[in-house]
Amino acid sequence: MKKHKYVSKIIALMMVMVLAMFTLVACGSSSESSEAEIEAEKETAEEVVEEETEVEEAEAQEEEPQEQEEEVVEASGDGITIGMIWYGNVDPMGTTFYSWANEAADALGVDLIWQLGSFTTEEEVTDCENLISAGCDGIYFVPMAEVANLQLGNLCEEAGVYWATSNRDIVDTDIYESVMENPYFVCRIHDETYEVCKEMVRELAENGVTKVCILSGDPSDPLMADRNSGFSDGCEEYGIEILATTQGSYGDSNTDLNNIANFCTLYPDMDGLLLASSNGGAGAAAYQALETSGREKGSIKMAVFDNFDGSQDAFDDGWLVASCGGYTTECLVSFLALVNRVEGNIASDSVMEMTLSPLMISSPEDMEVFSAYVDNPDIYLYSDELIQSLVGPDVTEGDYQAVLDEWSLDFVKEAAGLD
Amino acid sequence: MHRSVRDTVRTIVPVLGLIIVFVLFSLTTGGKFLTLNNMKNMLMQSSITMVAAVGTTFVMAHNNLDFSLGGVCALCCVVAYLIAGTNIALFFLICIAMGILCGLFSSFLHIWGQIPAFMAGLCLMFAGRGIAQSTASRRSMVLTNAARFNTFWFFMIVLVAVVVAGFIVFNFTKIGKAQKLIGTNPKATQLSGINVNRYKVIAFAISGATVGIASCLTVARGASVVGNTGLNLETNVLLALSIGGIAVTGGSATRMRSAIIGTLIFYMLNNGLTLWGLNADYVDIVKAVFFLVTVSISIDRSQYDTIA
Repeated sequence: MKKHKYVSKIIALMMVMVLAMFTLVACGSSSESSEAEIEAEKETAEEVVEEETEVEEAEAQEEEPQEQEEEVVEASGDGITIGMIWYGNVDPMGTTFYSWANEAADALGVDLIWQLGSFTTEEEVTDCENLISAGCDGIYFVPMAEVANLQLGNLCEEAGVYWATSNRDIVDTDIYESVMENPYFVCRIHDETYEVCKEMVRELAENGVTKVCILSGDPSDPLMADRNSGFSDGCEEYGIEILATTQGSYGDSNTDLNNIANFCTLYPDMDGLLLASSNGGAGAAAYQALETSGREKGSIKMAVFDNFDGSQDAFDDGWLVASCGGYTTECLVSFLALVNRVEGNIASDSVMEMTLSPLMISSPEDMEVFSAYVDNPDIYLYSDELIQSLVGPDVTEGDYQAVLDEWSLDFVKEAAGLD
Repeated sequence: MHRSVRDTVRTIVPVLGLIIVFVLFSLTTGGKFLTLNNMKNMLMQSSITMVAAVGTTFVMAHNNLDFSLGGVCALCCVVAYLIAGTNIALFFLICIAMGILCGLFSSFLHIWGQIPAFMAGLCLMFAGRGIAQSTASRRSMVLTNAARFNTFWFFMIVLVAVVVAGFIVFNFTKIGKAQKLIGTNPKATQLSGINVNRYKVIAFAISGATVGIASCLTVARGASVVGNTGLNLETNVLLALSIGGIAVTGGSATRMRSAIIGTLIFYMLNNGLTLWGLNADYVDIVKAVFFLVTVSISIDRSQYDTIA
C-alpha cells in the first residue's frame, strides 16, 4: 500500500514536470518573438507579392523583382522544403506521383516531407499544421473536400506558406471566391472529367451497349460528382438505360465484387458496366466478378475510370472497352508551379487555374502502352531537363498549361521512345 | 516478475514514454518541436481524441468497449446540420444532445437487448456512417462559420473543462467509483445494493456526451460535414487509451490519466516524426513498433493469468 502511494507520488511529480515544461515552452518569451517573426514574414511576403505585381504591370521589368526574389529565397533558408500531403502509395497513380515528385525534387534540389494516408479534411489540417511546424516553405495537397481548400489555405496564409492543389475542382462559389483571394494560393489544376465520362459512355454505345449498371463515386466529392453526372448525362444522350446504381466502396474490393456479382445476377439483360473509379481494387474486383459470372466473355462491356491491375487482360478478353486515367501530370505540374513560386518566381499575378484532359484508352494496343508507360512508378516521362526548365524566372502560366495540353498517348509514346 | 513490481512498471511506463518522447523530439528537431505554434498544434490535434477518450474511460472502467465513436460523431454532425443548419450555437447543442441519445441507445441495446456492448457500438457505428454518407451524397453540408472556432483557446477551454469534469466525476463521485466496482465484479456490486444497469447507462451517456463534444471540435476543424467525418475516431481513442496503459478489463485499475497520457504520446509521436522528416514509408512502421513496445510493457495482463 505504501509502495503504491510512493509510485503515485512519482507519477504525479512526473506529470507536473511534463505540464510545467509545456507551460514554460508555451508561455516563454521566445515564442512571442517567433509569433512576431511569423507576422513579420507574412507581411514581408504579402508586400513582396503586391510589389512584384505592381512592378510587372508598370513594366519596370528587371531590377526590382530580382532583388525581391532574392529576399524571398533568403527568407526561406538555404534549401527549399515542400510539404506533400498525399493519399498514399495505394494504387498506380499514388505510387507514380510519389516516385515522380521525389525524382523532380532531386532534379531541382528541393527537400520533400511526405504525409501519407489522409482521407479527411481534419487529417489534412493536422498534416498541414505539422508540415508548417517542420519548416516547409510550400504545401501541396489534393483537397479531400472542397472546404479543405479553405481550411488549409487559411493555415498557410497565417504561416506565410505558399500552397497548391491538383485533381479537385471547387464548385462552391463562396469557397472559390474566398480561396482565390488568398495571397499564398499559387495554383490549382483539375481534370475535365465530365466530358471524358460522356466520351466513355459514347464508346459503350458504339459497342452496342443499351443497358448498364453503374458503380458510382462518392457524390460528396466534387470530382466523383462530376463523373457521376457525366455518366448519367452520357447515358441519356446516347440512349442507354441505367438499370441500377450502387456507390463504390473505395478500398473494400470484396464489397465491390459482391455488388457487381449482384448486378450480374439481378439484371440478366445488363450488357454494360460503368465504374466511376477502379482504384482501391474496384477495377480488379469488377473484372473478377465478370469472369466468374458465367456470362460469355465480352458479353458485358465495361468502361472504367483509372487504370487497374489486370486492365490489359480485361481489354484482351473483351470485357473492357474504355478506360480513362493518367492524372499524374497535373500533380507534377502543380508541384512544379509551387516550387517555382517558393523560389520567388512569379509565373502569374493571380492564382493559376489550369485543366488537364485525362487519357482515354479504347483499344488493347493503347492499353498496352498505357499499362507499360503511364502510372508506372519506374517510368519517368518527363526528363530532368524539362522539369528544371519549368522552374525559373521566365516561366509563365502558359508554359505549365502547354505541358498539360501536350498530355496524350502520342506524347507518352514519344517520351517512351516508341515512335 | 513479481506482481507488485509488474504493476509499478505498468504504471510508470506510459508516463516515462511521454517524457522520453517529449525529451527526444525536443533535442532532435532543432528547436522546431518546442516552438509555441507547434505546442499549440499538438494540443489542438489531440483535443478531439482526448475529449472522446475521457468519456470512453467510463465505459471501459465497467469492462466494456465502445466502437461506435466515429459513426456516432458523423451521425451527430449530420443530424445537427439538418436541424440547425449554419446556426453554430444550436449546432453544437444538438451535437451534444445527439451524442447523449446515441449513448443511451447503445446502453439500451446492451442492457435490455442483452447485446454485447461492443456489438451494439459496431451497429451504431455502421448506422451512423451509413446515414452520414447517404445524407452527404444528397447535399453539401459546409459550415464555414464553424471554422472561426478552430482556435487554440476554444479548443483548450473545451478540453480542460471536459478533462477536469471527467477527472472529478470519475475519481470523486459515486458514478466513477461505481464504474470501477462493476468492472471489478459486477455480481458483487449488484449484491451490495448498487444498481449496475443504472450506472452502466450513465457511463454510456457520458461517453455519448463526450463524443458529441468531440463532434463539435471535429466540425470546427473540418468546417464541413461529409460522409467520412469522424473517420477512425474509435481506433484513435482505443489506441490512445491502450498506449496510456488503461486496464482493458476495467475495474479499480482504470485511471483517467490513461486518456491524457496516451493521447499526448499518440499525437506527439505523429508530430515529431514529421518534424524529423522521416521517410513516409517508415513512419507507420516506427509508430507500430513504439505502440507495441509501450502497450506490451504497460497493459494489464491480469486477465491472461490463467492462460498457459
